[in-house]
Amino acid sequence: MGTVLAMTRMIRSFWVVLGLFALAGCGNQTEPGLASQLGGRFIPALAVEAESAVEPGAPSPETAMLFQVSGLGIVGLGQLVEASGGRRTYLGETGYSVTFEGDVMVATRGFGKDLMAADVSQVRAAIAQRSGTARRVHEYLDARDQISRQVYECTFELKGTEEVDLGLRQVETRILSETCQNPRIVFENVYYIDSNGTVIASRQFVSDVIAYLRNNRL
Amino acid sequence: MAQRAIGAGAAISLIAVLASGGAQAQDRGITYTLYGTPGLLEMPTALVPPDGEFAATLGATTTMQRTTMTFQITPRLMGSFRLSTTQDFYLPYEDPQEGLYVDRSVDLRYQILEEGPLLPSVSVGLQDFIASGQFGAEYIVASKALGDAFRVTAGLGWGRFGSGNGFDNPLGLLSSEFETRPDDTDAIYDGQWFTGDAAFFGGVEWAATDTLTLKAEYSSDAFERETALGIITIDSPINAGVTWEPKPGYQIAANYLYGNTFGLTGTILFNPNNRPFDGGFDPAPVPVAQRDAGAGAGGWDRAADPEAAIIAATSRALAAEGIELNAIQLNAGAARIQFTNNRYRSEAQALGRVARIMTRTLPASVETIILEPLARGIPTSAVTFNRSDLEALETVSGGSDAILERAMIAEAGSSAGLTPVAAPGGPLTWGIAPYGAVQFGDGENSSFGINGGIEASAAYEIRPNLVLSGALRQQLFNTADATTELPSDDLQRVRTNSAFYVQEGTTTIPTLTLSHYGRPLPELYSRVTAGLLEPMFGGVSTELLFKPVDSDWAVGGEVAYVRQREFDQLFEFQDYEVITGHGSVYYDFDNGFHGQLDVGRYLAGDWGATLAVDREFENGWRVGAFATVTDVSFDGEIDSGVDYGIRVEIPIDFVVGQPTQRTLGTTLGAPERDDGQRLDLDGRLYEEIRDGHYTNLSEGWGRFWR
Repeated sequence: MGTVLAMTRMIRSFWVVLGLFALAGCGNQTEPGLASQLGGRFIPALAVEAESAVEPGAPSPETAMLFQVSGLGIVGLGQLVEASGGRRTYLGETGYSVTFEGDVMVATRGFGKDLMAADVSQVRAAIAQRSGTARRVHEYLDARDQISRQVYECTFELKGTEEVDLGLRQVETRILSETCQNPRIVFENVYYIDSNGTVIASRQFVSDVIAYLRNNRL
Repeated sequence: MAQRAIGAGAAISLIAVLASGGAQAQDRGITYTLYGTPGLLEMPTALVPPDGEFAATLGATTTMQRTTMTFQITPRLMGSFRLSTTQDFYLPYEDPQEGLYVDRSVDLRYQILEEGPLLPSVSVGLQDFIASGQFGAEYIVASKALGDAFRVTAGLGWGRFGSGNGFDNPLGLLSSEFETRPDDTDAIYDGQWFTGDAAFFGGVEWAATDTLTLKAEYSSDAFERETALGIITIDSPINAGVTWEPKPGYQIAANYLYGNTFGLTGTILFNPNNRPFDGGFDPAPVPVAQRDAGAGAGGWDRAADPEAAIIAATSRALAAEGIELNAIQLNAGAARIQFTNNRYRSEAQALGRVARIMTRTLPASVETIILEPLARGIPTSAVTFNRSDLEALETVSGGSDAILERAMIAEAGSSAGLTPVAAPGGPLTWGIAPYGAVQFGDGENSSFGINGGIEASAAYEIRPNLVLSGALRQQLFNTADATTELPSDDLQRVRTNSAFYVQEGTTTIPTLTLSHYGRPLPELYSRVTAGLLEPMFGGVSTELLFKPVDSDWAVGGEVAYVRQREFDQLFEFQDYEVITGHGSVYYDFDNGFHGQLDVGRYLAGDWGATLAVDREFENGWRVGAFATVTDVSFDGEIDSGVDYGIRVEIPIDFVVGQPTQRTLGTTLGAPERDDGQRLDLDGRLYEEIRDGHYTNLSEGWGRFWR
């Protein structure tokens, strides 16, 4: 019955031994302990890239954007780190990034349920016309690391005016609303357009978990 | 090293991990029996949990405890593994005994009909089906929801579930063989399924609120053996109880059984298909840098863009991603690098990060980027990208599939032309971490205990594929009682003496090895590990593996000459020595299942085979079962039977939402024994190599642009 008794102990251990899990350690190993991984986040690979370092000093309207994600408690500046091929990518202090094509967000990283990629060509055309309909495609990473795709039908409509506070200045804007839906989800993106026809602020849908990202120019 | 330290004794840290994430709403409505299966109180229902769902249940009465892991293997097939204890029980063919009786049992249940608007869900099940053990029963059962809150279940049971108010087996009409159940024996299977008397059972469930479910059943289990032994008295076949689900994924039930007994059940549910942190909070990658049109047309201006500066910038940027640049080959049109990913579970994600960094550091004239991931210092594959594809597809819908389609995944090239790059942190890595372990030992001679302490580990990279590594442990506590001398055994004690290692080894060197990895030919990999291989054995282990980059299969062989180490786990050895080794075949089925067959000689000198089948999720979860039979399994004197059990491996990034390659694994159901034991070796080739090969890369490719 030796085996039997050993198994008894196995059962006991199964229910008894809690707490062995969170064993953090220290050392110079490339893989840090869990505790340090859960600490602050930033984009280390970029920080060491000397040539892209942003000049210290006051943030410039050309290279910075203000971001807010209520669900994650994010309010802060993102610095423009890449502008090429018609896309602009901003990097936030806490390790997230947001990429735009024109004025439309096409990707986020570092938010958890990120927008991995998007097809917004029709959306951009509708924004230019301030009206119309558009098909919007979003891609997400699912629980099993596969790309899943959501397709939305969107309707654009001007909805009056609003004064937007950009911190340093107040700007009178027209509000362009984009209502999108598919059988699962409905959301409304909002673009604030100044008298020059520039989108100076917006609220755009990221994912069902994160909800909206707000951004405005300085 | 911390991974090994945890792995050694993490039998239950699993529950700590399970507790960190709940199941989803669709699991509501399914509650669990004392047997840890979806059902009523002790009787099953026909319900099927969501695919991949994992349920850990403890069902307890004063006389019987049942600990069960149930896993939904495929959308219709469910498996359960159970360890149970009953006070003063023994089977008819066993010697009478007093004390706790332990039974290990395995169930299967298959849903043959899904519930429809009119038709019920119908399932057929085998409980404790491998041997005629304590809980052997078979059943066919139907369940149907009536409205939102009611469900009724009726079934027909055999074996244990045919013992209460049983009648002649209706299957006897087919063959008289079904009429009588064979006497209990310890044979593996002697034709007992669906034989003997049959009986009806049934019950109702009422979801009174979102969190409370009331259940009542008519049980067809008369507990004949337990009643005969005076362990249980049955005053009523009606059982009733209430299950409370305070939050999704956690169930607690109070039950009134047999007309005289209270029972409690606790269940934790977990599903690899529900990831608590979605894709994880991995810090954003550096974006791809797009070249201006026409840039680089003049070739690579080495004066303006010196090679040394490019290498330094690439190495620094990779290091910040937890990736080591090992070697580089650079010319005006193409760049090839070898790197070691130390952070990302998914090699595809590491490839994506490396590729993006290279778009920022390489001269504009370079169009072809070849990435060779290293495992233990040897390249596992060569993934070739066109830089313009990387520029075009980063945030484009369909970009993930497109970049996989346009990339070329092939055998790694030779080392000719590569310039080695020294690791930025130097060749020495080290770490200090606590460790903890659970000791089971041989039941008669040592007691259960927990031990732990501090472990310092270090590795010195002589070359990326030639590494000296070791660990030093200081035990700080050990709760097990002192161990007495072991009686001699028919088989050399190779594992059942583990208690001595825990007791006498307070300051120990669990491992100290020199290991060499190689790729003598394309598609062929080699390993030689020498030294103190594991806490109980030292010697030399050699291995060869044949694994083409694009194959779903591999074959390998391993031979080791080892000697048993002294219990103090320093540099001395005992007399026992053995040549052990296996030939192995590996196959990755398309449907998410993975099989491995090892045939050879085990540590105690016994010959046999181990078959393992795992379900592997793309997100790193693995749930599997294994069985070992050796030439002593049914030897008259030893007669230990088939060794079988289940194993679970959980990727830590799934749980914490941060990138890490760590996993937490545990094996259940294989008590310490001496037959069918293999060396506990770090770094066997197959698991090291396959991450960089086509199947694993493509399965995790969704993370390329992560």
